[in-house]
Amino acid sequence: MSLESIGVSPEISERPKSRKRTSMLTLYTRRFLRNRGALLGIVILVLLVLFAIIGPLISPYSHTDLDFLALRQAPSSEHWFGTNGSGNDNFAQVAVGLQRSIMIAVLVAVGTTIISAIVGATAAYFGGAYERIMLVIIHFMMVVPNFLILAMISNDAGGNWLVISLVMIFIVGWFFPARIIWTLSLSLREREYIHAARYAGLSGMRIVIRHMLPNIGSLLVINFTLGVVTAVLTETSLSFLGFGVKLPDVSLGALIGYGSSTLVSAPWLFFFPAAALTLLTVSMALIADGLRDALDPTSAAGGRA
Amino acid sequence: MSTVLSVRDLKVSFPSEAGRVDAVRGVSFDLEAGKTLGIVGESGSGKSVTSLAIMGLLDDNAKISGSIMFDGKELIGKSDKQLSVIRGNGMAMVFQDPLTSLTPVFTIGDQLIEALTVHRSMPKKQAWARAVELLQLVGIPEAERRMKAFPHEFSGGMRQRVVIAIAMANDPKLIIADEPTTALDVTIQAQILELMDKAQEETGAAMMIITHDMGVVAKTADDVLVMYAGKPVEQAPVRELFYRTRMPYSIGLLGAIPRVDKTEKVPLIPIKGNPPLLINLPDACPFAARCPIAIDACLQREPELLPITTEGHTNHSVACIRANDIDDDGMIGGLPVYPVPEIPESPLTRTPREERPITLEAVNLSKSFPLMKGALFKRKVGEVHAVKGISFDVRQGETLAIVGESGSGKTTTLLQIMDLVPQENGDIRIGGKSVADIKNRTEERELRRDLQIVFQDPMGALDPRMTVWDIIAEPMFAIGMSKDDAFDRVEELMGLVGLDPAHSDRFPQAFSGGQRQRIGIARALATNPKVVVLDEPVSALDVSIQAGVINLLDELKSKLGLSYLFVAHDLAVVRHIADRVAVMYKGSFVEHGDVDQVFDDPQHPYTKALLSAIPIPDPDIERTRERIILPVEGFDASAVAAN
Repeated sequence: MSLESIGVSPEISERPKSRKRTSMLTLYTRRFLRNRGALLGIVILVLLVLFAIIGPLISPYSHTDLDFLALRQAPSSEHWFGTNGSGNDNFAQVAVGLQRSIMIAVLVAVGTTIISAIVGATAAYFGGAYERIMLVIIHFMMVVPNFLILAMISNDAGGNWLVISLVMIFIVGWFFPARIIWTLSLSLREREYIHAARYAGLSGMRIVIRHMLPNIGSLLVINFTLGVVTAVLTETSLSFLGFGVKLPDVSLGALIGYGSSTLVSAPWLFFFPAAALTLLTVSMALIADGLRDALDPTSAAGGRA
Repeated sequence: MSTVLSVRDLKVSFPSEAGRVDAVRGVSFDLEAGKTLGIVGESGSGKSVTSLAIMGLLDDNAKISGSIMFDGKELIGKSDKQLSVIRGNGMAMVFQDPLTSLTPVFTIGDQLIEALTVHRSMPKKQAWARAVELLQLVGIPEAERRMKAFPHEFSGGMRQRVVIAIAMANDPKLIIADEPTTALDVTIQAQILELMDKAQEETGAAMMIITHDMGVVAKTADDVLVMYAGKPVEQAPVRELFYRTRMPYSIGLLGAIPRVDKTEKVPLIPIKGNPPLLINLPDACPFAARCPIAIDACLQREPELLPITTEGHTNHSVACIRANDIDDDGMIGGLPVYPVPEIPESPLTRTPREERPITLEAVNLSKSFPLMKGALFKRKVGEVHAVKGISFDVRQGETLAIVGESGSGKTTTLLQIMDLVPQENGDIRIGGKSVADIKNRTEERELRRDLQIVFQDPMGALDPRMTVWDIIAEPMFAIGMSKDDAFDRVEELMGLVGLDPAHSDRFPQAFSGGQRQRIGIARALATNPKVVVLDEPVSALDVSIQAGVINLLDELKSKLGLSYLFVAHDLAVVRHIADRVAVMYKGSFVEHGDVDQVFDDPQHPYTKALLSAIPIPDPDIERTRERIILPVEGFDASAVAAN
């Protein structure tokens, strides 16, 4: 790409007719799709989502059906992923559990990323009393024993997944990332292009959204993926302890917790949900990598269109 | 005179992801004791790498070949340990940034004594005495007491003095100074250059000064080496180089610098294009693409650095096949090597100043920062007056320059205006509208339309996540322009500042420094403002690029009838671009008036000192000039009344 500098006042030979301009979105998509790993991640994720949606429909059994003739059976043509000790079909259970886990994970990750980004960046940009109050809240939340509160509330709520997700967003998830985003945004606020935007007459909120957030984009993407992974793992720990989603509802965590106790006698009960969990986190990591490179002008894509 | 340093065919290359970077491609020179060699070039020309290679301070991954003979010893191929002994006893280096070249946790005395004792044994008492002596030598008052001070208690200029004292500590045979004054204010720069002269006299050392400032070269150097794309392109004694320049690149460099001592306004001569990347260079003259007199033969093979005979009858070598055709005035075949660009005359200049409308007016502008004390409950214990009630007006089509050194309050003044801060006992009026009357955001936005800014750092001022189109269009959307109008306007603006509108969906990284600054200017012009505030718009650019941007600003001013409020520390640029000038010192204007009046007949002692401190790129003038040097510390020019 050789750019030649132009003299003081060149004549523009002719005006380009078309008004088409590569929009940011098409640009990002094009760059994202160039990344092999990211494509693989997308493919895996799509397959997992399809499995979670279509799996329960094509399975001859629902995840609550009990087949007393097939207790703790290995995978067969009858039960594709085998059955557990009570005769539940493992295929249906993994599909439904994955569905539940993806819903929790995505909801929590999106929620925490949005809240932490907005709180952190606005606190840094606007400053003053608002910043001080937000920081007090963040610092207070950091010393509260979150996991205990989460366990208590989710137990009281009877394992309702929506309640668990909301609690995970507001009590566990958002303040550590918010604190990091705040420190990063503090230095961003003093950049000249932020001043330039302010002197151009943009409102504070627009500066935060148009200039500050995109420039911490890679951090947000990493936060999002880590958020998905932690959400799945937190939910897994909760279910493992017995505070998570309750029967008849299942999640990957509950299945893994159950399967790990029969790892030797009935390994299929552990390996199928564990494989689904691994694929989910790996695909998220690949996608995040691709997103970061696509959004970051200084990455290997090097600001190329 | 003995030859201290003899470099032959020095080549340095680094591996990089894009391929091998040939940073230095064959440098040869001899340096005698007591002489000074100036190496000039733009960023990326390989001048710093040359000096680091001589010091043996390059990374392990650098491949160095050729020969460096220092004091009869070959340096290339020596281990770091062996080099360290040679360096410690014979070479010294003065770096660019005095703020980072001293260790903050040790006292000045400790660092001086360490430099004295690390390579030779010396009793403690004697080392202390010598250290104090050195500090006195470099002009630090109360040296005995200052030995126990830490670096942060010293100003930038004082620290550079200490660095020079450390460099002198071991009676070096060679002192290498890499941009020793670039980070300093001009008055301090003059002092430091004077001091380096003294240091050289005292130690009898040979000196290598690396700089991009032709004025510094004219002042200090005996011989000059002009580097371009890793190779010397012209080498000559200083007077010969300045008065009988033969290489088009050197001619361009000299033509591109505004002169503080020139009254008439002639457009500067920019060198078009950018320096080449040093990867896989073809066997052609590397300057050919930017050279106005390039011919086909220039692209055949790279010219050697060959001696040339001129009327000066000295050792003069040039790497240009057309060098013999060029004469002393930079003319070739009766025509100048560089065609002089034409800047259109503004119709406004014909109207007398008093009849033109005032576009920006500041009345009794002040700003003070509170001094706070206490950890938990802060209380105010005093005030620092950064700006002390200054007043000025800028009329249509004119440029007011505010000049001052760091800490003079010029940036604070700018921020007060840009932030539209209501003044307690004064006012800021833009196009006749007072900032005190702003009631809501709509009115503020309306006012911002007329007031735009161009920043100093061409990279930092453009959001790296946005395309050029989005950057330029942003102010238009802020004032509610429709998308269709914005399309027209962005195209128009990019053409106006000399960029190709087809490049509008690239990101800022894809552009060079000068082009980025043009993008910044296009953004400032987006809303068709009356006043453009220019905050050091060219100080981060190389000279050849700087000239193009200055010409563009000149042209835009006359084309669009803009008013500029120009803030700078470079008086030469100010002289070139400004109509009126205000000299700021410690928060107030010490002198304010027409540019020619202030520069030709300065009244205030601070203005005089400032003007005399600027090195002029002309060795004869520069070396015979009388210099007014401000006392080192504790001098308050504002206390001296203007006469």
